[in-house]
Amino acid sequence: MTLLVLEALTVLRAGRPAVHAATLAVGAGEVVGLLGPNGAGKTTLLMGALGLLPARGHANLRALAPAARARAVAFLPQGRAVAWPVTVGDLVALGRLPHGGGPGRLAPADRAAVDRALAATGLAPLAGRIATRLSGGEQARALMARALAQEAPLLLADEPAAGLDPAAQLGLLASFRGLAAAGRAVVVTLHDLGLAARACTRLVLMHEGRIRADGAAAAVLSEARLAEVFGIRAFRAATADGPILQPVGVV
Amino acid sequence: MSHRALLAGLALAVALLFVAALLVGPAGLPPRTALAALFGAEGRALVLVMQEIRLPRALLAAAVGAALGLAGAAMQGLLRNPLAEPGLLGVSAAAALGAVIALQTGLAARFAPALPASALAGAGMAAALMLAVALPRGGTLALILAGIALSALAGAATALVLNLSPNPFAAAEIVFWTMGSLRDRALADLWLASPFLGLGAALVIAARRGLDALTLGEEAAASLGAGLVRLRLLVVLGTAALVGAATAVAGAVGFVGLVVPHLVRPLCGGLPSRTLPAAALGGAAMVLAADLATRLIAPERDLKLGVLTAIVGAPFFLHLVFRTARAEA
Repeated sequence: MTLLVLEALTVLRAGRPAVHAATLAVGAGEVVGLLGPNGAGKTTLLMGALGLLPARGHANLRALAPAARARAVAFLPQGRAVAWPVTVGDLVALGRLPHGGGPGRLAPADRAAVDRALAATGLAPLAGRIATRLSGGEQARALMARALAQEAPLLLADEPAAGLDPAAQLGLLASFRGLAAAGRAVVVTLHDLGLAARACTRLVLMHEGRIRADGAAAAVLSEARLAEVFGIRAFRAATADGPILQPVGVV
Repeated sequence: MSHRALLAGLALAVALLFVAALLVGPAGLPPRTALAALFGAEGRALVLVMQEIRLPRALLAAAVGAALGLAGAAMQGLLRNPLAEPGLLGVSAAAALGAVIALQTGLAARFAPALPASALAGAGMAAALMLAVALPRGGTLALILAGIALSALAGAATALVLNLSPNPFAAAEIVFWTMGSLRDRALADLWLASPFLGLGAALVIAARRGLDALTLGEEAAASLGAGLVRLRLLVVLGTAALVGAATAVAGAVGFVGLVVPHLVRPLCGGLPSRTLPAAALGGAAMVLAADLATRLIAPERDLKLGVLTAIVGAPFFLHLVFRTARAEA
């Protein structure tokens, strides 16, 4: 089943196109890594797909009413904002708002979703703690848990791995694979090319507001493209744990 | 403490302060006589004191306090900032200007309800202007800046009225009105204000889930289905109605909307939806207590309510700023 469809989507920022004619389809069972240097348009593409920025062209999620869209897709923004000193449990429960639940009014199904999200991020022991007093990485995991608790078929996560320790990064990508195996789909922006190559089922490379490549890791992250798009050269090796790709120099 | 226990405790405090407000006054009535008079069972003079003076004053104190607390909690929720206060929209300054114009032109002297009505008109115009700013895609910053500009303009216009005031007595009357007071208010004032208070409360309460979602930032809130335009509309209109009506009947009563939500928030687990009702009850308790204090501290000097809340509230605000500055350092 196709969960995300973009057809020639041009997304505007301050009235000017920041993403040009992006065409992309993501189906159930996929973990799509959205890659590209800073300013390539990754965040703009996600927000345009969600209807949070003005755009031309077609996007299936933009056609939905806000409430229906919130049940079709969960979004984890890059900015990690927690405005008030709420507990981790309440924070995660906010993910149930589209389902009529929320902090302090969780039906059994909501409660189960919140517990699953807390368990998936390893935050169950911290559920009673005040989220704003946690470390940056723990806060990032709590916000991830909020998006997971939404239990939408599609998850768009903008740099969820930034600031996470190595174990948490691996755990995060593993949980994305778990979601995909359960018939859902994830689109995740990443800057760790090696992690993306190993953990994603498919990579989409953006550069200067355009989708430049879309496919398997080996094809997308070719030597020529790394040089052209990222301006780097990388060490590569095939190992039992999957492909290793480590940037080693600027070209 | 559970949220329900907190609300019950605050409601009890409001009830006790309300009864105290009915029992304290220059007439020096014994409590039993006072309460009997409230229900019309004593001599005519006493019934008049209780039903026409103390009851409206206590009801208005509770209503104004609840409105300011609720508006403050909603404003802070919308702007995601504990230093936001309901006056930020410029509505209270515009309401004050409306009242001052009614006083200056003598309308208020000829027809008493003209004063709150004129204040409400001022608040309504301010709200319309703020909506024009907030509605299209206007962000939070535009809202704050427009509010500052509107406050400055209304303040300058009020100063101009004072400046051009023909006699010192009229000027003094205006200055005293702007200090905020609940002295000599009638039940008619409450009837005039209550539709706006009710409307404002309903709008703000309808925004509570959206304000909860806004805890995660505007983008995440929008992705959770909380329409930001609808949310801004609800909170700006609701706050304007609450603050406009409160200012119309009580004058400028500062710092309640700033301080009370901040005091109750930690007891509410931080969530705006839980802070709203607690801030309403807390605001009612604070204004009832402050109005009692004006009568107990200097019964014969007519100490103004707004002066007292500012004297208590401003140091608290400074404390807040210092604490925020330390947390960010």
